Amino acid sequence: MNDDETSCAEGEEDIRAAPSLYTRSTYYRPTMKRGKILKQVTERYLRDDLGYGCYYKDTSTDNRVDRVHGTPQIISSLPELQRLLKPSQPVVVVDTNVLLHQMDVLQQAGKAMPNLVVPQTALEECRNHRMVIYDQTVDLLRSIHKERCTIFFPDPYHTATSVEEKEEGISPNDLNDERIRRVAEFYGKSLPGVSVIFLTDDVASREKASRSYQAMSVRQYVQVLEQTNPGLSLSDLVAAQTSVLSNEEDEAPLYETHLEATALSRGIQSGKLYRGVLRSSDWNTAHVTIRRGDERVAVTVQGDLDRNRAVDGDVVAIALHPLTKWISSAAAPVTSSVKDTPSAGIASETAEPTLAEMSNVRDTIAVEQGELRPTGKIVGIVRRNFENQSGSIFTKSSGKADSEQEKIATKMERENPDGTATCVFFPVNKKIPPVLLRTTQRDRLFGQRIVVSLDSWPANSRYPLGHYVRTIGPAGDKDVETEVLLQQHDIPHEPFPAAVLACLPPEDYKISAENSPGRVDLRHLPVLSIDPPGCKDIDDALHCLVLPNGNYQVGVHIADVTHYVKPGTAMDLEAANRSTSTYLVNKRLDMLPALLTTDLCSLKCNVDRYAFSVLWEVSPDGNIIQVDFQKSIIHSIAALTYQQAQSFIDQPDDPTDIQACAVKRLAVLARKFRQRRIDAGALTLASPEVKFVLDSESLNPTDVQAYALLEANALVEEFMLLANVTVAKKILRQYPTLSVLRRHPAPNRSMFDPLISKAQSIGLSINIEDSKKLADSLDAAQVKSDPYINKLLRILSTRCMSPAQYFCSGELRASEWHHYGLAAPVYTHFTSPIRRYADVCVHRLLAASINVAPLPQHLSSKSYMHDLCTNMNRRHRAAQLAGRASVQLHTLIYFSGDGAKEEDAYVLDVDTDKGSDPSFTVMVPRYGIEGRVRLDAAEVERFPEEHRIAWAGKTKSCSVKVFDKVRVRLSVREMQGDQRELAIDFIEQKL
Amino acid sequence: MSQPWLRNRNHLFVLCNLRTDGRKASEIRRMRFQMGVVDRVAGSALVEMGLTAVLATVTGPTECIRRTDELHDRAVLQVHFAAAPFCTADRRHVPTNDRRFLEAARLVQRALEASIFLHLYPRSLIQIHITILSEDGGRLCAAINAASCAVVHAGLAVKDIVCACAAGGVDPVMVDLNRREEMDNINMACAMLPQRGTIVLSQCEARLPSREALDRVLETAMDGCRAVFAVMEAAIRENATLQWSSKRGKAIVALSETNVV
Repeated sequence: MNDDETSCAEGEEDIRAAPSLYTRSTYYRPTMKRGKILKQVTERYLRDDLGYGCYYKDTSTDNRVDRVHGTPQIISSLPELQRLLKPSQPVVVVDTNVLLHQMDVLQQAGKAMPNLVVPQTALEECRNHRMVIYDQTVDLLRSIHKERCTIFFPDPYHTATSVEEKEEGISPNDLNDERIRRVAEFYGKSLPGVSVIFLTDDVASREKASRSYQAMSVRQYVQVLEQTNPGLSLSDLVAAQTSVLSNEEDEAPLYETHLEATALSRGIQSGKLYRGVLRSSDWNTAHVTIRRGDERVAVTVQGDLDRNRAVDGDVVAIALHPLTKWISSAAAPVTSSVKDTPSAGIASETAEPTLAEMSNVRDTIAVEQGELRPTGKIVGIVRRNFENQSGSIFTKSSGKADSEQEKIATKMERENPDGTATCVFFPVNKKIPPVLLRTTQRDRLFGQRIVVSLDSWPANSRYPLGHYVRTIGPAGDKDVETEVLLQQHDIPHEPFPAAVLACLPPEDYKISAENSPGRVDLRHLPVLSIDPPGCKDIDDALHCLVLPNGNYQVGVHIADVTHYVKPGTAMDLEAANRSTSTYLVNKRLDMLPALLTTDLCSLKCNVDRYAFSVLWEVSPDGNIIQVDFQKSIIHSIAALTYQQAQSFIDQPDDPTDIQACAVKRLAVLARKFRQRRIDAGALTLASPEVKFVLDSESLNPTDVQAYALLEANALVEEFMLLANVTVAKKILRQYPTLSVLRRHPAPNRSMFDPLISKAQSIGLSINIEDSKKLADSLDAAQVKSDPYINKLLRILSTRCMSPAQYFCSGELRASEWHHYGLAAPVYTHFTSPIRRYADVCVHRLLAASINVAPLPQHLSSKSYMHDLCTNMNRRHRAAQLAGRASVQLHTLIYFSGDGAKEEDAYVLDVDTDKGSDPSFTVMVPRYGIEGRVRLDAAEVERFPEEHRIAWAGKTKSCSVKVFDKVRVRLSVREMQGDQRELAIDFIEQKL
Repeated sequence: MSQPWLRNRNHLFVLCNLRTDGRKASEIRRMRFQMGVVDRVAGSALVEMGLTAVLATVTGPTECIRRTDELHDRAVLQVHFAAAPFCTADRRHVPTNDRRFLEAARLVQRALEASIFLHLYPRSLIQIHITILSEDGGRLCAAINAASCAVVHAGLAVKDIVCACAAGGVDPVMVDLNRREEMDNINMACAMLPQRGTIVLSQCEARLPSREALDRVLETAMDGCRAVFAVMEAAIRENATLQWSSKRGKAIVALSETNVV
């Protein structure tokens, strides 16, 4: 038998007939649209050769990465089973709910629960409920442990355990429970002398247990385990299924009860309910995107009661409110007022993208009363998205509760009779509400960043219940906080799995023309790259030659990532999921494994590299005569830094220096292209970004520098823009409905109104009619005494626009493809495939357009492209936010290390609302920080027209107006639980 | 945390080497051949491959309906393909001029022309009617098997019994896919003359990842055909014995003898 199985794994087994025993099962279900009854018959073969289930056998003979998982083996005989099981330990059979809710216990129990049996029925039920847990279970079954034996039992196919579905009136759930109990019984009967434990939290299932095995709840069993293994602390990991607060059971439910699964699917099928994924920006606002016919519409969910315990990412069923409850499209969506947070930090560069823009859906419906925003309430949860959250515990404050967190903590925290304490956990992820946590180690967890898993949210509990998973480290520590911020923004930061690494070319892969036939050999061209110093992932290189006819040949060469990342492979899927590399101050999280990112794809100097080249013939006055796209092999002659390139541009002509000549020629052309773009209305925007100088050992920030923008930066940017636009046109011509493009919507007038009014108060005018007028008015808006005001205006106008978004060209009308900022009718991303997945897609589209490689199947599916673009937009945004959060974190470290600093700042906004605390917002150009300055003055005079406030200071009366220069003090303020925040205090006015 | 739309869902095979219906990759579905199920035709066969059931009847050789259709040196083979309204999950009438059925009819005709000695029946017409009674994947293969069986039952002279079986999925290579597997896997139908090793038909509508994959799939499909042949041959022998002995009034004895042999 054993030999048989091995040969099966290698695919050499003879073809033969299936076993003679089989069952048929018939389901009837109504169709979605017309309610026709469908009869589905499936067949299942029952086998007697499945023995005692399957385990994973380590078959790797060498250390190759792709074989770490081994192959599944059937345990065919009792002696074999006895040899595999860890001696004198019980065999544990788990049911669906244990898998779904107690995964952390199963994972961390390790040696204490070595013999684990997972029935297939449980695993499949798991898949219908929570894909994350399903994946974790599969990983658990597939990993090979020295001290654990995990067995997968295919019970529906095993003659000893399969259950006939003949009995009427038994719900599918009960039937599945019966199947799982049979597995326990099978092991109980066939393993004399070994105790078999059936873990279930379902009381009814425990009562039905037979005598050949022992049924226990997880909490009971964990207690037993902890008595025998004193070192183990599993009880905190046990998920809370019922309300933690014992006295709340009598209370009336706070939320409406959710509908049952069958009622939900019936409602969805009949069209009364809609199904969609709930997305929220914080825990007060949420949207559900539903399909209405062929359209996707975002439905707004307002308030806790309508939201009915759904969290971000849940698949929910939503009922639309009647038309009278819809809100007008002009009304801004309810957002939590960011103004309330007193802390200072790094502000967003652009306006928040609306949901409609992020995922290319509409959020209004035209009805008789005009465009209205539909609202609805959630009536049930189809699939929960309870992911692990990181954050910290807040506790009752001794004195007056200041912050909102402390208020909640004071209200909810309590001691339980069994010695545990219920405390309130606040996830750093603002999309998730606070979580109630029952723990035995509250005092130890206080002040730590911990990971908590959400378990359930009963209708009578204000907040969801969860359990402690692990501690990351003390709050405030740099590495801990970095991990927290990655979690918070949901950025994949685990190392690449083995399946992905297995897709890599071998270490000794040789890049030669022979290894990839069909490429044009461009190794004779003097190609060079220009990047920031220390850049490891060089994805673009340039060359420029003078042709015999006097024209220039200009080439942009982009790393040929798709040569290594084949569509549909594990690596491709991983990259599609990550969608972008994330750059933090102290580290870089790559989209692709390091071998590709920093070596094989990176266009380093003096080595051969595969590239995707765009070659133009350009006349000396900057007109493009023809363009050509080619897969090529190149040999870069130099990897220049921006500084080096700039010195080439500045130095006098020297015809013998090939590099300098090429850079100079490119610079001349770039100036012409740039002028042409600006004439067409492209905007020049600014950003207050700064960069940290890090200590080489501790990686702590020692200084802050502004980014130096040289002409060389503009040169590279210009050619990349040209390449992107050229490629966008090319792929669009070939695939008018399937191209991945990038659009930048024209800004909303109402977003610009405050800025226009502020500019007027200092005598400047801003015209936003179109991008050309905006660019011109920004150029004209100069204050002679202070050139920085102009930059400030550019920074602020950027904030009034939404960020650019990826989309699939088939989803929007051609008029909506426009890129406002670049004043280009179509635009895409082609030039950074190492760090952006959109570019990888565009590379594939372009390769298909020029008949180099066929278009992968999935890229021709519009709905897949939609999901892909939505994911790319979400990840791109998350990467930006995480990058900014990382800067913020380092700013805190910088100031807490050096103590308080005094610095010049500009007033951005003055709060002139009546009744509000007197305050104004400033930006500190030196550090790129902005924040709110609070004044402790009683007597305040407000002048909304002039954007000015005046108050009586300690020594003299002060008056601050928008765009004034002031002197401020920056310091770090300590808060509860080692949390810190940056504070800005006003010192004096500068004239 | 990976996205659901990026996931490969075939984990059952990864965990225990079983397909969704409990077969191993190298197992064909249970098959049943019944011959002589319809009396008024020359030959008939009802073939079940798992839940797919196909009825084939052979009429002929007869005179051609129109003189112009006649071929002076061989018989004309016509194949008609139809499906019962209840053969799929939802009940609906499928017109016989459905493009896919016309194509399938043509494929069956080509496969059988390779085996029937048509030149022995000049100026005549042989008609094969195929009806799908129940559909659960492998429709074309079941149709070819049924037609081939009915041709044998009709007593037409053939080179070899055409057998058909599908393979696909590529990694792992699975044989005889059912409807659910057909939906999300590469599927290649293959028909051959098993005793000669000649492929008479192979059809694949998906893109195979590599040449080597084609070799593997084709090899598996041919092995599948041979396995089908083993079952079909036994059924034909049994049926022949039954007919022969029933004429001589010794049905039971004859059956028991074949079992011994």
